[in-house]
Amino acid sequence: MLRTNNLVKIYRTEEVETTALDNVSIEINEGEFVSIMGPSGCGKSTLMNILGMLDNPSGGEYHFLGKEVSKFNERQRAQIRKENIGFVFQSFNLIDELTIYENVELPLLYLKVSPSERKRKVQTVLEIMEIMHRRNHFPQQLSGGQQQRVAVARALVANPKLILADEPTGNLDSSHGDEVMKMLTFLNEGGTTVIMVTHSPTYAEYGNRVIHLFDGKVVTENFQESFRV
Amino acid sequence: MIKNYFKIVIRNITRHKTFTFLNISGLAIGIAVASLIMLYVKFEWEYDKSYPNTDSIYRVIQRQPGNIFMGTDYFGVTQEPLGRTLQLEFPEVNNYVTMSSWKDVVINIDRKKNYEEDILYATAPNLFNMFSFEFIQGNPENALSQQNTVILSENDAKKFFGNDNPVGKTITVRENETWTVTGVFKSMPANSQFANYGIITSFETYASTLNNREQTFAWGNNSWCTYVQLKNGINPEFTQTKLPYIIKKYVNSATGSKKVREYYLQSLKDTHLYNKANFALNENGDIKIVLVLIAMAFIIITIASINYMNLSTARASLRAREVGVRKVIGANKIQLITQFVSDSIVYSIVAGIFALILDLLFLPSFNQLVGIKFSSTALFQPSFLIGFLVITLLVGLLSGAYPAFVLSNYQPAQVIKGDNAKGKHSALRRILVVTQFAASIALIACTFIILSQMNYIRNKDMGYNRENIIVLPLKDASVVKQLELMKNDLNRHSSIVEVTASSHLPININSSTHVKISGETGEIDVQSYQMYGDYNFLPTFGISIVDGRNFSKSVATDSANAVLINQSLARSLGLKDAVGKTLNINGDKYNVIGIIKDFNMHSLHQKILPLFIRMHEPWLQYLSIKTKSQDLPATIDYIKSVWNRYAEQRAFDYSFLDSDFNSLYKREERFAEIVSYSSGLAIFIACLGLLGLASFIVEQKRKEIGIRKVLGASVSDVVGTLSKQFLKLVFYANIIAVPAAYYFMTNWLQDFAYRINISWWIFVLSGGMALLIALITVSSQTIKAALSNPVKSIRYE
Ligand SMILES: Nc1ncnc2c1ncn2[C@@H]1O[C@H](COP(=O)(O)OP(=O)(O)OP(=O)(O)O)[C@@H](O)[C@H]1O
Ligand SMILES: [Mg+2]
Repeated sequence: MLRTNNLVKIYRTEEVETTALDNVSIEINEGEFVSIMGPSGCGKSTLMNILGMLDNPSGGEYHFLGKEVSKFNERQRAQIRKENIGFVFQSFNLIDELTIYENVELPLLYLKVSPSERKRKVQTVLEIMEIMHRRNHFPQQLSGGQQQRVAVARALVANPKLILADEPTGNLDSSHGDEVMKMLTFLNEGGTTVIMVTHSPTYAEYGNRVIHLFDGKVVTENFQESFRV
Repeated sequence: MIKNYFKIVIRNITRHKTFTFLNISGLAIGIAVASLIMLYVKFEWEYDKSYPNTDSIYRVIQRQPGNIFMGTDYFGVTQEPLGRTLQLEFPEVNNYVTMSSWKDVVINIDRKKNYEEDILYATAPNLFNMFSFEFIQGNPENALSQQNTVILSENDAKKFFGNDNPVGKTITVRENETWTVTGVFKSMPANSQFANYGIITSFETYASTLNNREQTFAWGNNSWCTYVQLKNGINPEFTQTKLPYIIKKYVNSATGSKKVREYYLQSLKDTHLYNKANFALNENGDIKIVLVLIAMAFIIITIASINYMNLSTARASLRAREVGVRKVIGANKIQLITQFVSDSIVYSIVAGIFALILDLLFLPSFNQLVGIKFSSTALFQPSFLIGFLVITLLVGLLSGAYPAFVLSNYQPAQVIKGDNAKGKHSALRRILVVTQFAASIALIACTFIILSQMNYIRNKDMGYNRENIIVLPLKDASVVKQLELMKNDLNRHSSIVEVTASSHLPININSSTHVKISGETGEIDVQSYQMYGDYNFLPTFGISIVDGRNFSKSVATDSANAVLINQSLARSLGLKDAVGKTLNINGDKYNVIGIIKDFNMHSLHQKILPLFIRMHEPWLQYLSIKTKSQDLPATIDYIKSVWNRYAEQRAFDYSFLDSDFNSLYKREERFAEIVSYSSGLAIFIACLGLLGLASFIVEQKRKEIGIRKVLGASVSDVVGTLSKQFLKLVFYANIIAVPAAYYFMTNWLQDFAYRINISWWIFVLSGGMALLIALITVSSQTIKAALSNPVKSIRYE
């Protein structure tokens, strides 16, 4: 599905230069559920942003679905992104001015899906996520867990091949966290590739393997082929 | 998608009330001002352009270099034979019209109903062909072919005869002429020079009222407007270059005068707004006023749009996350730009709705300001509504473009992390605020300068007294015949101090002729203003005599050959000791009996020129009555009763000389009003923006304020720190505003022969005022923040 070769990301501010990613080479296949772990500041989010094409690397290669995309401009990246990738963030990043239903519908609008098709898809994911009854509420009226479920619903409504989840459970208590993990697993079982950043070893084990980052470098990769909940 | 955008806008509008209110009110005022100005500009711009032949019609104007006794040496009037001759001599001249008008003529219908109307007389049927009059009854070719026939506008026909068929009915003119109505024409639009003329008769009918027809229609008499129509495709320059030939062949040879004279063809399209000649059938417009109004509309719209830009980009940080999310989900830049521009367009459309209401509310005041009577139906005409919509959308586009650009540029990777783009665009925001205030301050400074010039004009000693003087126009000869009796009756009243009859009022003497005197070096010939007065003229107006004496009843010859001259004339004639000298005026000899002190005979745009005063009753046109200031209504009642005793058939009209005097400065007055209202609006809208910005920044700095207070800062420390940054901007604005205002005002003042010097305190005052207003605006926000409990705000984040 995707492969990186010596990815480098350097942040420059006036005084300091931070190497957030240092020669990261990973490969992730279709259908995998990969967890990424590591201490704060080690570059997890940076990696996710590059994998999700929200940002370009400073160096190295990134092949996504067979295309080398590291030098793509914003428009090209946006095109691939909206067709293939769904995002879930720690802070749920819902649009406050839109209702639950409208938030979930948004990716379909950008994909120019027909109204009837949109309605069907949104309703389906809202039902899967068990938040159909809240569809006309605004994000602030929901609990954190519910908001994250909406975010997941939004990530998967367009049927992406890849879901990138950056600490999706970071702001949730354990029962809500478990719910979200259940959803991600469910999606993965349906064939969607999932890459998830987490600080929780328990949640990391939901994945079929864990990539450990330290100081911008990949340190170990644990394959956990056998372990599935 | 669009629906989705609109949902967000509408929810934003209802959720962020302050922001919405500030933005919409600013934009609404901007759009209202701009649309009213558009109404006016359209009216003025299309003035006299509605005739099918407009493009090929020219007015002949003449210039007599140096003859500035009519305010300018360009004359809108020419000789009667000119039009005819041009058509005869030049094949490219298709048609001509010679015309003029009588003002305030008494019209009787059925011997009862009494009107005072302006009457146009013109070469018929040329007038109707050239200006495409539409006849509802009668026909243009022969309607006025008989003498003493008249055609009426639809409006006047209705006014005079109601629903009766006017054709064949008669109107009585000046109580002694009976004219038969032979046609009715469709009333001309309000922005036509013919709009005021509902009664039109032929030049022939006019000529029949003259007893010196020969002389009146000679080449030596300049009294009529001449219009010519050139064949299609003829360049007026071509004809104009041949005009000196006409002067040589006809004018000079017929008059024997070697006066330098030039003819010009002025396009009809220019006669209203770009007129530089005196005399016109109607009051002319002024391109300067049009341009100033356009500039004001532009400035106010810009200031309002800047508010929107500043408030939106300041608030952008709050929307950054939305942008990030949208980008992550798949929005591209174009889509985001579309979204934010449609945002501002929604704002401007909402503002537009309020603007239309403002337009309706303020139309009467606006009418007064520009001196045109637009009816409220004008606001619902398609042409206005389309323009209105265009302005509204342009405002939306102008306001939205920059915020859209800023917002759509946010990088999702950064915003998603919660890194909001605080302060990133504050530099440009500051520049925009400085621009707003620079414009506002410059306008305030201009207002002060204009007002102080106006004040100077009103209070400058003109050399005559104009307080408590009531003026009655004598209207016609039958009234003048009763003059002595009227004066006697008036003088009997205890509140009436002086009564005088004169041909002109001191505020506007516009007749001139040549004065000759034989000196040692030969004959000296001086052009001079002339007027006629009586024994009481000088005392009534408090004009003083520096040498010699006033007209005196005890000197019988005074009424026949005495003349008073002003100091300027004495100087121009080269006379040290003028009293007792003999002047030759148009071939008659006059004895100088006194020198009067120079006084200003016009507005202060003009310098004092030579003047002489003679006595000759038939030329008297005004009765000026100096009264005591108390009990004015009773005095006016008495004057009215005297008037009715001797001139019952004429309506009693009066005015106060000081208000007549003020109307000399109608244009300046209008200009001053326009600039002062605009500057008021400008500073008001700019302050709305400042208010929004201040409240936003205070909100963002809540935590900082809390910490500062915990650390021991006083309320005034906090207010000071917060306000300082805004006041600094206003201060910079001053630096830009001063030279701009100075430049424009120096230019404006050039038009006055007598003017103030622009003094530095005006700039200190206007800058200080803007600073004060800004301080009050900003403080309202900062003080609130500074007073709030610090613990609360610290706990926020
Ligand atoms: N926009 C930026 N400008 C400068 N430095 C940055 C920027 N974004 C991240 N960094 C730096 O890059 C490094 C990696 O950051 P990143 O956000 O990827 O860490 P992380 O592993 O996601 O940490 P956490 O677990 O706290 O979320 C950090 O040292 C961070 O300070
Ligand atoms: Mg992170």
